[in-house]
Amino acid sequence: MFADSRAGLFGSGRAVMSDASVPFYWLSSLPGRMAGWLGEAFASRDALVAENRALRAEALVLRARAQRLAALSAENLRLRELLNSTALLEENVLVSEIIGISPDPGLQVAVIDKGSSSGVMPGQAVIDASGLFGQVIEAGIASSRVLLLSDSTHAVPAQVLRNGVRVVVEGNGRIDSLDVDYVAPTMDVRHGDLLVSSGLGQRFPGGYPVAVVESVTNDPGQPFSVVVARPSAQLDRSRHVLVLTDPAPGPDPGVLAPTASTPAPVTPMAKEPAP
Amino acid sequence: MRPGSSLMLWTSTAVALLLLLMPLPGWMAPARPDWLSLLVFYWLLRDPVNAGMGFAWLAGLAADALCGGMLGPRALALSVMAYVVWVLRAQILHHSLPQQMVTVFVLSALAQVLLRWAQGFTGHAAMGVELLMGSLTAAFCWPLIGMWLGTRGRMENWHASA
Repeated sequence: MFADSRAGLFGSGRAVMSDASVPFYWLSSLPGRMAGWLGEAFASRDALVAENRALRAEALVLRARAQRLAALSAENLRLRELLNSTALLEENVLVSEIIGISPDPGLQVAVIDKGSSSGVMPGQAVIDASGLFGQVIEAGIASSRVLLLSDSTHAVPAQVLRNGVRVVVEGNGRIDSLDVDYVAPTMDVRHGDLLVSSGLGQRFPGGYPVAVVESVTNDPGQPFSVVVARPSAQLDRSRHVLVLTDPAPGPDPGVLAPTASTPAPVTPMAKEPAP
Repeated sequence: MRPGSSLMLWTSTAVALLLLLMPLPGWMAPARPDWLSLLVFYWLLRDPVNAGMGFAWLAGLAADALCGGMLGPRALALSVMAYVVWVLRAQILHHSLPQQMVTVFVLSALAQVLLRWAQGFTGHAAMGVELLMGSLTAAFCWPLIGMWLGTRGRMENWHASA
């Protein structure tokens, strides 16, 4: 155990194990999949037509939004050039499917069907349709393991979208809630606030939704408020996720260079969390 | 030992690993029976010559590799459990089925506590009482497996070990 966790003696062996476990995950999820296939095969025509219509409507709305987004991102780029900071690179994403979830209730790990042969590397961020999902911790050749946000060993630097207050969002082992740590009672964090990734840890790109604040409890006897948030990503329901394969993890000169101009809009009220 | 027994041993191990990975609905997942403990418990009673602590260790290691995370906590927990079963084997075989269920619960709980303790090394948060849920359901699954041991294994084993 120590050879593995501290010394990392099984570096490449772990990737092999990740690949070797895929058939097991595939086989064990077979009954559920068969039920899904049967459901699709016997779905009524009306249901399919209704679903098709709903999807068309959604695609139209999304396309309209994308038009505005193109204009906005062009404007954003121009403004960034004026500010002489690096342009935000467009991230390359890789669509992948979740093959299995680790059965261990103390460990929140998902197995996805893309690996190093598709350019997945440990440390890359993973998102789903509605928010940040987790990060890659092991990349096999054709599969990799993703640590979910809600794992008790995972933390994300984030900020409140409304006012830019910086916080740390930590998993607590439950799949439907996250803890927001080191929130002083004077900090402006309220119920319903959207927390987005701040990109400060250099691991996750900034601007992706992480969680929505559910409750803020102030106990006068405690130095920090107890803040509980609900993850934006559907950690327990998503079937498809996107791996952000670009920018590469680790010290990337393109990201590290402009140390003077932090893109995060931080209000003067924001306090640095005490160590 | 009959010639088919070794095949049975590895088939049942593969089945236990598959059951371990089987997706369950969210509310049911914490109550997933501790299949690995049942497997080790059964085989140590049935065939301690071929399935000893080494078998428990290998099965635990395979489960660790499948689950991700640190390599070894399950191997450790199951080996310790296998040792206890091995020492108490003669007594357990003479127990009635309800008594065996209690034994399964206690030993599986021991394995679970050891497993969570070992996972604590890498900074995982401690779990509450729900960590014993799997042991409880495993105890209730034991009659299904234990009956089989009773009809096919017990006498044979008793002669083998005597």
